[in-house]
Amino acid sequence: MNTKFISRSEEFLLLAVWRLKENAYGVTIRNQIKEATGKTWSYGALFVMLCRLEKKGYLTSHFADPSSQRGGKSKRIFQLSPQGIKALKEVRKAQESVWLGIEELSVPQE
Amino acid sequence: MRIMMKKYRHPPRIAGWLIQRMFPDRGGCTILGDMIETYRDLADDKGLFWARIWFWGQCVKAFPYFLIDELYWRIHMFKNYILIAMRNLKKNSTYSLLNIIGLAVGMTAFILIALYVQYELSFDKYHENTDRIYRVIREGRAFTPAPLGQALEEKIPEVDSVARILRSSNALISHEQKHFLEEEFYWADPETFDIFSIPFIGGDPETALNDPSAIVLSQRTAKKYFGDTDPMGKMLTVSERYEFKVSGVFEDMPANSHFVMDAVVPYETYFQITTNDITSWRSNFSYTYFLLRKDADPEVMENKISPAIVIPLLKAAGIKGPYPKFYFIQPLTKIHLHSHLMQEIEPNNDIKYIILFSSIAFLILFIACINYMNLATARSLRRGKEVGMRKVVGAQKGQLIVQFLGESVAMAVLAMALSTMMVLMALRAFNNLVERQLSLNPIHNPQLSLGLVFITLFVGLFAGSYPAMRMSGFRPISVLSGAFTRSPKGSSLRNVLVLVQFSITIVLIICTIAVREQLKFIKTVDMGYSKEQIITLPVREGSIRQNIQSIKTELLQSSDIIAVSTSGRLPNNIDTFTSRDWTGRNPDEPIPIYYNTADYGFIDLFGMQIVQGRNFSRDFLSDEKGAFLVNETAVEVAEWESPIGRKFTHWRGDTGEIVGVVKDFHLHSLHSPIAPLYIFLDPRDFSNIAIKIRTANIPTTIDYVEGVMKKFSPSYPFSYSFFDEVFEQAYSTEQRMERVFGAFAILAIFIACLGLFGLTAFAAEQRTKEIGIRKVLGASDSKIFLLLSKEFIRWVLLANLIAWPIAYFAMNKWLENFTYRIHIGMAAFLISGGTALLIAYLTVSYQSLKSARTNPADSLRYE
Repeated sequence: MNTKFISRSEEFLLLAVWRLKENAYGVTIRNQIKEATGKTWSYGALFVMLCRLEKKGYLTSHFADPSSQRGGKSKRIFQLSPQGIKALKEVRKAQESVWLGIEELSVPQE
Repeated sequence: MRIMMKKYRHPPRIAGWLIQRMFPDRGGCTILGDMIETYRDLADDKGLFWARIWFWGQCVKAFPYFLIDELYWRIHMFKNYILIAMRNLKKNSTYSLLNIIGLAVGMTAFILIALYVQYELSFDKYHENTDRIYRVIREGRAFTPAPLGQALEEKIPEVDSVARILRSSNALISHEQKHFLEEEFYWADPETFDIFSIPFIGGDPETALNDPSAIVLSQRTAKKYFGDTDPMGKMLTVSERYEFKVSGVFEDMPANSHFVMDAVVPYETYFQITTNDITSWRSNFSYTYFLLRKDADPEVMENKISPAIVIPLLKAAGIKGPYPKFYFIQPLTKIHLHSHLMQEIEPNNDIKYIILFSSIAFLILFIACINYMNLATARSLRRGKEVGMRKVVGAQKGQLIVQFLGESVAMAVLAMALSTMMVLMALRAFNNLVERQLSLNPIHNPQLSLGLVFITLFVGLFAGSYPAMRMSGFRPISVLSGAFTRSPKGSSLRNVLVLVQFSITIVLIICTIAVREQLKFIKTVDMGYSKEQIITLPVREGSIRQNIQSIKTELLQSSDIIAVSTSGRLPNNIDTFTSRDWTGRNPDEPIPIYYNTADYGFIDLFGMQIVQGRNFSRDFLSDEKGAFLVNETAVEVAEWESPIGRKFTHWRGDTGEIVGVVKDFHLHSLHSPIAPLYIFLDPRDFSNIAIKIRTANIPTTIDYVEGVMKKFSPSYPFSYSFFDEVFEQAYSTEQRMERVFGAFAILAIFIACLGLFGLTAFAAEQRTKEIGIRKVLGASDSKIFLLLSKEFIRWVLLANLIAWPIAYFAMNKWLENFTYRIHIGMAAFLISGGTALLIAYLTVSYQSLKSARTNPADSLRYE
């Protein structure tokens, strides 16, 4: 493997999209992340990251019909691409092997 | 209520608009849609006010992400550009090397000349009041009379202070056992240190020269005599007679000054120890500098000098008007490059040469840029596919221009790095060439560092502009479909560039040849006197003058010495000058005439000819009382029918008869016409001894001469010169110019050849298939060779036609400086044209031969 691991925030985003299935668009992804990590992202940050992930090929997107609830603007629905799933599996594998055998993290006693 | 609802549900318009601008996805609608959705939820939950604040907050927070994202993709693209540029560099390493070396050589030439020009322009600019310092001169002459200084100070209100200086080169200074001849020995008014900014290390500049027997030394001179001990208050002996006490030491004057002083003694002392009268307007051998009042107009001041000072004196002496303008002033900073008077302290440079060298620098840089353009456009076809691909995947023309300009700037940066190394290596040789001590020191020379950055950018952008415009304009369809091959438009432009390059090169070669021819002419032309086998000794000491008869006798005892003669001036530069009212002429119109004093042997030693009358001779006792020789020009100017036997008067008042007419010889350099001259027989008044020697045993002869001189003047350091070398020194500017032209012509040829080499290589490569097919169809190697070479050769030939008139005009202009000059023959043109052609031919033939010899099987294989 010579490509880099995806970053932590990219991992969060991809997982959020995966969890949301067909309903993954800006608002829901943001809420999902807030629920999971407790952190509120700004839309600017969110959007930049989503677009970058799409350009890198981890996500695909399509536009849903416009709705009046959104001021007549259409939703951009995101989906994981096979490459995205592969990337997630890789970080998971790496994560698990790095954390393997560590039961509880505490300051070692003298 | 409904209307109210609708209104409050609209988020802030400006913030919305900003978001749309920053994230132009589907017209900025998706992110805005998301935000509106959350905004409305918030408005319901917490109220409209907080929702609006939130919306604005999101907008502000989004801004940094927008910036970072922009940068992210830029860097991403930039990485790609660099990658492609590196791949191109590697893949076409020959081409890249040619290109970088060409640019680097051009830049090196430019930097060297820029250093020189910068230095020459910096002369005398370091003085604090440099803008207000002026020098008073006379028409064509730098010397001014001694009383002028005081008169200026008293009668011209615009003058703040005045300093007179007077140079005695080769003053003998002794301290205990140390004797040195000081080249830069000056007699100067105390105000000198007030007008010029010369920082003192020891002593007080205000009072240092107040004592008539005070001497002020430069740091290096003080070190020479006193080593590391404190020089202040120590005694120095000048000319073995006069004691001076060191009253000050100043920092060495920078070399970019039109005069550099090493030892300074009070001006008035000169008049106390010589017979000259400080109040006499005939004491005409000082330089007068003054400080102009701050608000004064120099022109107004200049016009006041004659009416205020000279005209009253003339009126008092009964001389009637109209009076010419006697005195002129020149700004200090203009002296080094613009002043070409007789009696200058040091020979000055000429602004013409500075302009000439600068133009050469720009021309060479231009040639180098053309080279880059040429090679880059020629190669652009190869990168056509890259351009096509980039355009297909969405690159805009602007982006491509930026990419290619970036590449050429990167090339320029590499070239600049290389050229800095080249400059460091070449600087010593260049310093010898221009006789300066230049250094490449960007830290102490911020102008230079700025200049280097500017040149790099300029070269990168200028040289890259045309290829970038052209390449970015390729149409993807034609490039990618393969229909895009040699474009006649591109190649004609390349040919024009070759034409320009070679024209410039040929002009430079012609100039080199013409200057060389003129110098050869100077060396070989019959000057009217002989220069070979003569050594000359300058005479400074009284003991030599008193014992000259015994010295002559003793010298002649050596079998290697043929003749010895003494004279006031050597024949190559008789600058002593007077005006005589000659008998038979209108006494109100004195005619200027040069004069020399000489002994009996002068004419014979220098191989001059007497055309009328006789030489000075001991057989005629009357000669002893006063005898004159005049030259042919003098006879002509005086309109004498028979000059022999006429009464004539020496400037000191000695009278005598004209005994003969000497054939005209060049008493000045070939720049000026032969002037009227008289030679007065006076074996006691001389400053030079000329010794004609045999060519065998020259070192022993010189040792013998030194022995004789030492015997009569033990403390003076012995110095001599060969007369032909002295003679050539007068043309050092021209010699320097020849060398500079030669060096830069070679550089220009080198760069032009690099370009030509690259172009032929490219043309051959492009026509590989064509050549293969031609050969299969039966074309011979020589036919192919001709086919490939003739295209470039034709342009080089044409370049000759353009270059010849330009070079002819330029060189004629230069030769006008000489009264006696060559006329540029056809040979110079043919030789330079031939040289350029030959070199171009050799360059081209390497590639042409290579492709002509290729087996068509190989060249067609890639199909």
